[in-house]
Parts: sequence; C-alpha cells; structure tokens
Amino acid sequence: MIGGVFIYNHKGEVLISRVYRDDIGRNAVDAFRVNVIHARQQSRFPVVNIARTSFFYTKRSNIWLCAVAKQNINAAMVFEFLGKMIDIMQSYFGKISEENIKNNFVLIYELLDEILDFGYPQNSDTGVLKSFITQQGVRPITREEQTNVTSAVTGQIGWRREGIKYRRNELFLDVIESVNLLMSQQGQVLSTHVAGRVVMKSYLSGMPECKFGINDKITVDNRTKNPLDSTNINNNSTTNGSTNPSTTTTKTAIAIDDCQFHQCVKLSKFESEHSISFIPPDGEFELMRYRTTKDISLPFRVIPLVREIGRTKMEVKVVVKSNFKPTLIGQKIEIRIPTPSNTCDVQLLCMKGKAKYKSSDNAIVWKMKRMGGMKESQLSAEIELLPNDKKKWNRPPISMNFEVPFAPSGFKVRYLKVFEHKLNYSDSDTVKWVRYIGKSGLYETRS
Amino acid sequence: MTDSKYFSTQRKGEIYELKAELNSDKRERKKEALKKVIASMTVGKDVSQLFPDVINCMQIDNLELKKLVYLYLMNYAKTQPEMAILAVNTFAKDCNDPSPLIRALAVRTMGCIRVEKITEHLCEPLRKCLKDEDPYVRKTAAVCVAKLYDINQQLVFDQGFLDLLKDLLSDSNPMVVANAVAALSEISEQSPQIQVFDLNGPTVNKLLTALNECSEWGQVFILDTIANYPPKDDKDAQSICERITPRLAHANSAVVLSTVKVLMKFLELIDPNSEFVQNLYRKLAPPLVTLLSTEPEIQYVALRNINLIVQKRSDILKNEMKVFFVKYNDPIYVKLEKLDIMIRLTNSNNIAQVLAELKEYATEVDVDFVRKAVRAIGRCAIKVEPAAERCVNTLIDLIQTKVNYVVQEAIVVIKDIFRKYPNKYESIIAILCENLDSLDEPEARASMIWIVGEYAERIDNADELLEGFLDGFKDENNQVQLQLLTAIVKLFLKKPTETQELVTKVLTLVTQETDNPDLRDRGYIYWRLLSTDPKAAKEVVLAEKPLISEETDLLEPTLLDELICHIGSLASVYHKPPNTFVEGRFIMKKKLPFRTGIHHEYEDITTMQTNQQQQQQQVVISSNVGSLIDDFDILGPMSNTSSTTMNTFEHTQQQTSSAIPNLLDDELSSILGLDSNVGGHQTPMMNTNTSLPINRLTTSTGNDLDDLFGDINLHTGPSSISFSSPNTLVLPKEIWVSAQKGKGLEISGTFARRNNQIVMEMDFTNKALQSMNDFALQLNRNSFGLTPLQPLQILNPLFPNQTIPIQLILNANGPIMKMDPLTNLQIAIKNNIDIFYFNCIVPIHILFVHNGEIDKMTFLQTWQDIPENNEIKYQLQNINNLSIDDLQNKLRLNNIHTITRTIIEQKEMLYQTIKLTNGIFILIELKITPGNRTIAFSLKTKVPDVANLIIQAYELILSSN
Repeated sequence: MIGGVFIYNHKGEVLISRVYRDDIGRNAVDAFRVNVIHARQQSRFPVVNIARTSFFYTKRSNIWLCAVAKQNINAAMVFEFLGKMIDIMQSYFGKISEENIKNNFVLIYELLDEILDFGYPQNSDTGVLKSFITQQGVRPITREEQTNVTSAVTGQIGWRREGIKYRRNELFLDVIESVNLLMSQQGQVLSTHVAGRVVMKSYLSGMPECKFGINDKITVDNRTKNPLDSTNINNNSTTNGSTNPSTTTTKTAIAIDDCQFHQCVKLSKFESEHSISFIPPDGEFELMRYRTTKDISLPFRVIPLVREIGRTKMEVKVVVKSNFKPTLIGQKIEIRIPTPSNTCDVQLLCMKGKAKYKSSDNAIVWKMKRMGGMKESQLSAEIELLPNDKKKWNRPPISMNFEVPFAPSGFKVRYLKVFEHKLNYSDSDTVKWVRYIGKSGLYETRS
Repeated sequence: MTDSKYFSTQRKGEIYELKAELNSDKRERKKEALKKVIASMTVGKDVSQLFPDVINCMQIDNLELKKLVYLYLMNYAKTQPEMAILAVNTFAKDCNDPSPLIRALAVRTMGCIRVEKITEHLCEPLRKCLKDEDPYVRKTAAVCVAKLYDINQQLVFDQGFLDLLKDLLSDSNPMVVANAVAALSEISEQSPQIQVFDLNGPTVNKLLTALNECSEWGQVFILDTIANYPPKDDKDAQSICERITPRLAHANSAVVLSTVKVLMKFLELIDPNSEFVQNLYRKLAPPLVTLLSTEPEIQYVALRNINLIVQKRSDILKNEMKVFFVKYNDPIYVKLEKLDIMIRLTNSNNIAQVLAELKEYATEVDVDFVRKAVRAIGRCAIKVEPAAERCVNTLIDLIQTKVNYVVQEAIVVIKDIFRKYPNKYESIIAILCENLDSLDEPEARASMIWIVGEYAERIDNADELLEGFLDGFKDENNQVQLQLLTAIVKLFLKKPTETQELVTKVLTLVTQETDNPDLRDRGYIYWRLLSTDPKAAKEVVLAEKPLISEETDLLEPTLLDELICHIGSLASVYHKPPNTFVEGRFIMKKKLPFRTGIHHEYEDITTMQTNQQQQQQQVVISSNVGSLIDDFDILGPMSNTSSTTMNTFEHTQQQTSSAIPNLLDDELSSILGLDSNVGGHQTPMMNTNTSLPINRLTTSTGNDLDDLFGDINLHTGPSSISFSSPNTLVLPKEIWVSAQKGKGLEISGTFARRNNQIVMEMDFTNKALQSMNDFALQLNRNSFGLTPLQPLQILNPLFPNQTIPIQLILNANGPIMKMDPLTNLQIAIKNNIDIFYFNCIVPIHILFVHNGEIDKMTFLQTWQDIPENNEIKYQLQNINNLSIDDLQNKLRLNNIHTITRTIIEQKEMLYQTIKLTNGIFILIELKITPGNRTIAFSLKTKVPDVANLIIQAYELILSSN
C-alpha cells in the first residue's frame, strides 16, 4: 500500500511529508526531488521507479503531489486517491498553491491521518470529513454527535449524515456536456464523443431516496408507459430561458455508450432494473458521468483554408458556422488558429467579434461573445513569415471553445422523484431545477 | 498571521525558545510551538531533542493538538525508544476514552510506533478495540493488526489476532469488512507459506455482499482479494462474474480496473464460445473506453492495462480503434501508449484510417513519438498485406522529408518489410541508398547494411557502399560490425570475382584486429567455410530465411498471463512481474487459472500436491524460456546455449529451410540464426514460444525439457523410437537402393502413418568394406508436398555390415509438383561416397488424415454437388470375408471414416469419407449384399485422378491381415 505522501513546491522544497510505512525512508523524499523535479530531462511517465521505490505523481499549477510505494500496489487506486486528495484540499481551502498549503499544513496532516491509514485509503468524502475535521479548535462535540460522525464515516451511507433539515426542499440538476471533436481538413469527422456529467445540488431534509430517469435508449425501451414523466419537473433553464431542443425533435431516446455513477447510486439495481436510485449527499456532487458517440449534434463547424504563398507568406481563411436552432444563442466563443513560430506579422479581418494575434501563444485568437443559431462568420488573415526558419511547421489543429444552452447528445432528464418516508414532505413539495449546458471539450479541426 | 510563517528559516537558539514555549502554561503558545515543531520536522530539520517536551503536551484534551503530538511521536519514537515509553500511559488512557474518535486515534497511532516496548502494551487495547461497539474504532483496529504484523509476526499469532480479524469479515459494517479484508490480504501476501486467509466459497460470498455497500476504496480491497480466489468450477466463476459486473459502472477507475482484473482472470475458466463470454466482452469494452476520458495519469494506467487486455483477448476492443486516436495535447506518455494499442488493433478493415492518422503523427514534433509512428507504419505493412504497398509509399514520402531520425527509423522498418515480402519492393533500394550518409544510429546503419548485403546482386555499387562502411570499421557499434561482416560475405558469394579483395580485408580485420570474440569467431567460421567449401558456404549464408511474423513486440505469453493477474497494479503499468521491482519479501507468482485442470484441482490433497508440482515445473519452464530469450536479445549471436536452443526452436517451426543439408554443425547454424536475427527474426522466436504452453498443457508428466522438446526428441535420433498406438497398415519394407547401385549402401524402406504423422521408415545397411558417414537426404518436389520435418541426422558413422533403422517424419506442406504416378516420390541420399537418386511409391492410405470425418448433411450435400461423371464404380472383393463391423474397423484404423450405415433393400450401405493431407475429400459408398463377397464400390471426388489409387488402397487394406 501507499508508503508515503509528499507535497513539494516548484523548487522541490518539501511542504508536506507524511510517511505511513517503515519501508519508506527519508531519502525517498530526496530521491524524487533529484530524479524527477530537478531532473535535466522532464520525466515522461507519471510513475517512476527509482531504486525499487515507485513514485506516483501529478502536478497542480506548480505544486507536485507524490505518493510513494515499495510494493506492487494498485496504481489506479493511487492516482484516484491523489485526485481525491486534491479535491478535498480544494474544498477546504481553495486553490492548490504553495501559500495555501503552507497556511493549512496542520489541517493537511490531520486530513492525511484520517484518509489514509497504513497506506490504505479510508473514507474520503468531503462532506463527511468536514463534519469532524474542522480546524476550529476545540469544538464542544456531544457524545451523540460523535456517534453520528463515526457512523457517517463508516456507514453504509458514508456520504450523508443524519438529521439534515431544510425549510425549503430544493434540488438543482445541471447537465453539463463537453463535446469533443476531431475533424479533418476536408470536414470529415474523425472522432467525436460527448462526455457528460450530471451535477446535482441537493438541499433536502432527512434521508431522501431519489429516483432519476433519463432518456437512455435501454431505459426508455424498458418501460414504454411509465407514470413518471417529465411533466412534474420544472424545466426551467436558468440560462436564456431555453429548453433542450431535443424535446421538439422526433428523437426521444439516445444511446449511451457507458455511464458511471457516484458511489451513492445502487449499482446492482441499475444493472438489474436499469433504474438510477440513490440517497444523495448533501450539497453539490457529481451524480453521474456518461459518454455518447452516436447522433451528436455538433453545435459549430469550423472550415479552415490555409494557403502558403511562397516561403514568407500565408493566407488563412476560417469560416465558422453555427448549427443549432436559431432561437438559441451560443456564448463565449473562442477560436484559436495556430500560426508558425516564425510569424512576424499578421493582418486580420473578421466579420464579427474580435481577433488578435498573440505572438506568445503562436496563435490567432478570435473571440465572439455570442452567436445565434444557423449563422455564419468569417475571418481572414494574412501571415508574414521570417524566411530563415528551417523547421517544418507541423500545423497544429484549430481549436474552438464555446458554450451552448442545450445538450448536444440529446440527453434529457425525464424525472427525478424524491421519497422521504420518515419526514413529512413529498415529492411534489420539492422544488426542482434543470439546466443544460453544452461546452466544448477538445473541439479541433485539422488545418 | 498565517501558518506559513512556521516554514521560515530557523534562527539560532530557536530550539531553546521552542522548548520554553512547549512548556508554557498558555494553550495558544503551546499550540504555536507545536506547529513550529511539525513544520521543522516536515522540511527535514532535526527536532528530536524536543521529545520530552512534546510528550508533555500529550495530556491536553484538544484533539487537534493531540494529533500534532502523535504525528511527532510517530516520526521520532524510533530514535528515542526510552522516552517513547512515557507515552504508553496516555495511549492506554485514550483507548478507553468515551469518544470513539479518540479511541481510534490512539490505536491508530500506537500501531505506527515501531518500538518494541510500546508494541507490547498495544495488545490489550487492540484486542478491546477489535470488539469495540463503534465501527469506526473496529475498522481502525483491523488495519492496526496489519501494522502489528509488520512489526512482530509472532505476537499476532500468539495473541490470536488473526482469528479476531477473521471474525471481522462477518461484521455488520461494510467498511470494517473492507479493512479486515485488506489487512488479511496483506498478511497472507507477506507470509504465503502460512494459510492465513482461507478464501473459500462462503467467505467470498460475504465479501460479495459487502461489496455492494462499502466505500469505493473498500470495493477495491475486496475486488483485489476476490481476484485471488480460485473458483471451484466454471459455474462458480460465472456467478461471481455476474455479481461484480455492475461495478464496471463505478466512477472510480480503480474499482473498474479491479473488476476487469477479476473478470479477465475468471474468464479463463469459462467456455470461450458461450454466450456469457460474448456478453461479457460487450460489457467490458465501454468502461475501458471511458477510462480514456479521465485524468491523464489514470489514462496512462488504463492504457497500459488495455495493452495487456488487447494482447490477451483482442476481441474485446476490436471495434474501438477510433478512441485510441491521439489527441494533439495528450501528454506524451498517453500518446505513445495509444499508438501502441492502435497497431495492435489494426486490421484490413481499418487500415486506411490508421494509416491516415499515422501519417499525421509522423509530422509531429516529439521525436520519440514520431519515431514510434514511423515504426508503426512499417508494422502495419507487415501486418496487413493488402496495405503493404500504401505503407511503403508512405514511408518513402517520409524518407524524402530528409528529417534525419525519420529516415533512420524508416530504414529500420523497411528492412523488416523486405523480410516479410521478399523480392517485392526492391525498387526502392535506390532511394534508400541516397540516404546512406545521413545514417548515424547503429540500428539504422545495421539495417541498411543488411539490405545492401541481401540485395547485393541488384545494387551495382554494393561493393563500394560496403567498402565505404568498412573504412570506419573500428569505430562502429558491434551490431553494425557483425552485420557488415555478414553482408560482405554475402556480397562475395554473389559476386565472387570483383570482391575477393574486400572480403579478405574484412576477414583479416575481424580475425586479427578485433577484441570482440563474437565478431572474431564469426569471422573465423566464415573464413573456414569459404576456404573449404564455397558451395556449402553459399547454402548456409544465403539460405532462405523464415518469414517474420505479423505481430511484433508481443509480451512473452507466460509473462502476459502473469500480468493479467496484476491488472490495475504497478506490475501492469511497468509490464514487469512484481519481483523485478519489489524488494525483499518472497512474492508469490500469480497464474491464470486454467480450464482443463480445474475439475481435479481441489478434490483432495494428493492431487493438489501434484498440481502444485506441475505448476512449479511450469514456472521453471517459463523462466527458462524467458532467460533464453533474454540472452538472445542481449548477447544475440554467440552465446552458445541460446543459439543452440534457437536452432531447436527453428527446427520445430521449420517450413522453409528443407534445403539446409546436414552440413551444419552447431556453430554454423548459430550464424544462421544470428543472421536471421539481424533481419528481424526475433519475432518468430516469440511465436514458437506461444505454442509452447500448449505443449505444456497436454503433456503433464516428465521433466521440463521433455515437455518442451518432446516432439523434437522423438525424431532427432535415429534409434529407439517406439510408437504405441494402433496404427495404419504398413507394408513390408522393400529394397529401394540395392547394394550394387548404392556402392555398398543398401536402403530398404516403407511408409507408415504413426501418431497422425507420416513416417518414412528405412533401414540403412552398409555392405561395403569401409564405414560411411555424412548422410543427408532430400526429397524432390512431389504431388503431395512431402518434405522431411527435420534433416536426416545420423550421428555415428555406419560401420561395415551394420544396419541402422531410420525414421524420418515427413510433413506435407512443402513445394508441390505433380508426379506420374501421383504417389511417386524421388529421393536423393548422399553420403561420403556418392549421391544416389531413386524413386519409390508412397502408398496413398498413408496420406489419409485422422480428422476426415464430416457430418451426414455435409456428406449428402457434397455427394450431390459432385457431378455424376466424376463418379467411379468398381467391384471390390471381400477376400477375407470380413464381417461388416470388422470391415468398418479395419478401414477406420486407416482413417477411412464411416459416416453412416443403413440397410436399403436388404443391402448394407456404408457411406465413408477420406481426407487427404492436402485437404481433398473423397466420398465412398459401399453396397454389401449379405453372403456375397463382392462389394459394390462407388466413389465421388472433385479430383478424379486419385480414384484409382483409392481403389488400390481399399483392396490393399481389405486383403491385409
């Protein structure tokens, strides 16, 4: 199991060092610094073995997090754990930075003592940890409270404590999709997929049992006539008051390639009945992740035209077309057009938005605040090059960022039912909100 | 004021200040001081002298402070064992604290203090905590047992903690169960010799129940433990698989990968053709693909594992090629791994897409990645024949970019392409030669030299080119030197007149001016060979090389199987068995379960023991093979053991080189082996290897070597071979070469079919007055492609009046030439006296193969498909008046299979099939009238030429005794 956890700043100074196992000596701390952080050549793998000791590491801004082990341990688990640790620290004190880590080192040690025991990861749910690791000094904890804490840490429902009360029971669902695209110069889709997340913010009293329904093909096929449908959910989208456009199309069910759930979801029930039921943690959490590859409506299309005129000049023309309902509006549109490193001057002309050549990024950045559906815009650039550069330009792809108020996969929330048997509130007393956001993941067109 | 101030550099005398502050009455000051101490400890300053003062702070009932004190204690207790004892009382008190958090903290910390005196005091509190009412305390205590075991194993046994720990497996709280499992697994891994953890059906059941309820980490512990459970049978395996498959939808990638591990392991036990397996394949692909949208580090772990999974069961991801396309800003380690998997998934359906991608990659900036992409294009060419030309053209385009490392990499792969498709793409040699000067890497230089030597006859200035290399011979890398030597010898053999000077120069150089024994010895051998028998030298050096295999860079199968058992772990990331990177402790080698042996495995102790023995033997074998291959890789050429074994390997898979006569002694053949090595022979070696485990499985007794080389032993020596199974009809030996014609050598022989192999059995008798040696045998091309599986080997000379029996196994996949009669075989036998040519007839029933049975429907269909005029009728005589059953048996022994037997109009009808070695089917209908010795015989086949031979065979068999 994990033998130790170290945190370094960018200079390689140790900020946190917690050793769990006897086989990890103090020299391990230095070995990593010398062989990875200070190494002349950047290490090319996230796991390195130095003198029969394995170092798993990841970097956040300029902070190195490193887990050490001498045994053949579960590597996936170590990286998952490091990720979890970052989440926990972020939720306690915000950004991972040298300053923040130094300011909270006592807290970090306390957390590390709790979430790893002899190198075995223990309950690492932020909500639960926050209930008893507070750094508030001596907090008078009653006996009852303590038992609550321990049962929450170890319990079957380790992610929620008992006795939560809200005056108004409310929940928010955000369906956030990132669309990934790789398109060839000729406009052929090389690969595309949507990575979606359903993030839920729940402010519900007691231990509510929730049932969540989506328009997944299998689920929809399974129950053709279901009494529960989307009518009892406020389809109030908070952005631009729009609804998911897929409601109007004939396509009602989508094919989900794969989905993964927060640990609160009863997986065996999903496997057998295809129903998503769970007792949610309090506050915000990621209920589900999913991936689709079929019938994705690509919100934008980029058409590049690059012409090299002699050795010192290039002409670039980029057309962007929006491909969704005209009533909807895409936002935060940004198109990055890479330029060769020997660019010396760029003349830009664009119909809409603002375009700038950023020499530090070797790219033209074209920004548009918003763009309606079924519109088209164009940018043309003349690029002058210095002739001396021998190296061939490898034409990185043109990438794009945007945000649109619908789910490009066609994903739809059909219902979310809340049942709480002990307390006196029913599903209809709960206020529910749903919002769909489509974002760009890696949205690239080869030029 | 923030806490970061504690990290500021230490002033002189600060320790004394801290001491004072720690002993202060004010809680705030104490706390400040403690934080400073911990901060100093973190950055590596020695604050151990404050030990007594820190211990004094322990009594405080502030949880936060207490934790700081404990942290200090864990760090320094070992250096100050005497002082550490002072803490024992506080621990004991804390273990009885009303707060479960404090109790747990105390037991957790105590376990981390590796001081014997403290450990003694740990036992009582630990025992109590293992039975604590609060699950939080119990789960902490469970882990504490593992800690204690790490410090003092005996104590754990003596105090009965193992049993208490096992009780926790039935705990009502899933988290307690998970930690208990983790602790037990660790203990049993540390002491595999003791049966610590009896993983049986009921236990696994408990674990599976807890699996549904415990935290994500707990699920990982449980799944990793279940992976070690040997299922009773395929049903058991299947039911566990069913219960864990839902875990594939878990958000935690470690849970997913551990589930995949269990599934991959247990799949071994389930019939691969069953619907269940097909379903599972479908379920496995999506979660594996999803792992590719995680953090890059986890992606890396996932990709390394997918690489293993694809090698083991390529079907799972066969349709998922696109997801492995490289993204522009993937980290380099992800890119390289994706590329590797792409190649493994390439087939003729997706080659166009893959090639287009690879072309893109080859223009990227990262040198390693570009190199790998170029190499990948070459691998595609070798793997997908229809696309070879496109790949070669792409490579040529890349060479023309003149980017140095691209060119070198391309040349290395083109050499392999030449090996795979000889005499097809030689037109590009000219382009390659243009780049000769830019090659500075040994592998590229060696490859280029190989190409020049191999195709010397087509390169006008080959001698100039090689001579150019020769100038800087001494500065060349060893690999290049060896290759250059061989290439020049090849050139000499092809163009002897112009290159005499060159070859002398190189031979002198390597034999007189080099210290490298490999090089020198090879030089000597060539020299001797050339000076004694240039013709033989030609046959050795220019021998046809075996084709190279399609798949490259495959892991050795036993290693692959072991790594499959470690999916998700470090071993699967490094692609190395754990004992190569884990220190000290004895590590159990994990093995995949196998399907055949499973019924016996757990019946009783004796079978278990024998099984264990067998398994140990396997380990030995696999490590042998592994090390041989290693030697081969590293030392390559002259390491004697490895090269002789190589030879054996080569013979087992030999199909092409029947032309090599018995001239080879061991050393020579090692050159051959080496020669093909440089030409990329490495892969077929791996392939032969793949077939080894099968051998191992079928032959369960005998020593390792017999197992491995069993079939070879059978036909290496001429003497003492006994075949036991009932065999086909063997005609008596007849004289093939009379003593008169054979200048004293008399050869009589016959053919037999033994163990489903064609065996040529001969007696060599020396009727001359001098002894004979240097025997060699060759078969001319013939209608059925018969060639010797192995060259004739007669080790000792044949003395006057001595007779030796020879058995030579033939296989039927050699070159074909139609003979007249069809079964005619022309044989040449050479000895030190002369070469003798003679003919003999191979009785056709020798060529009937054992698996020629077809089902009734196919029989009927085929019978009807063959046109009427191909039917041949004949009247057979049942001379021995055999009963129908006897007749059937007799025919069956000779691989004539009766498909069905019916009575029509009081006549017995037998429908029979024969399959020849070349796959031709012959269908026969026998009509037997009871009491009548004449049998109405009618035959249908698509190749009527054989009909008469078949009739003869029937007559022969029926008339035999």
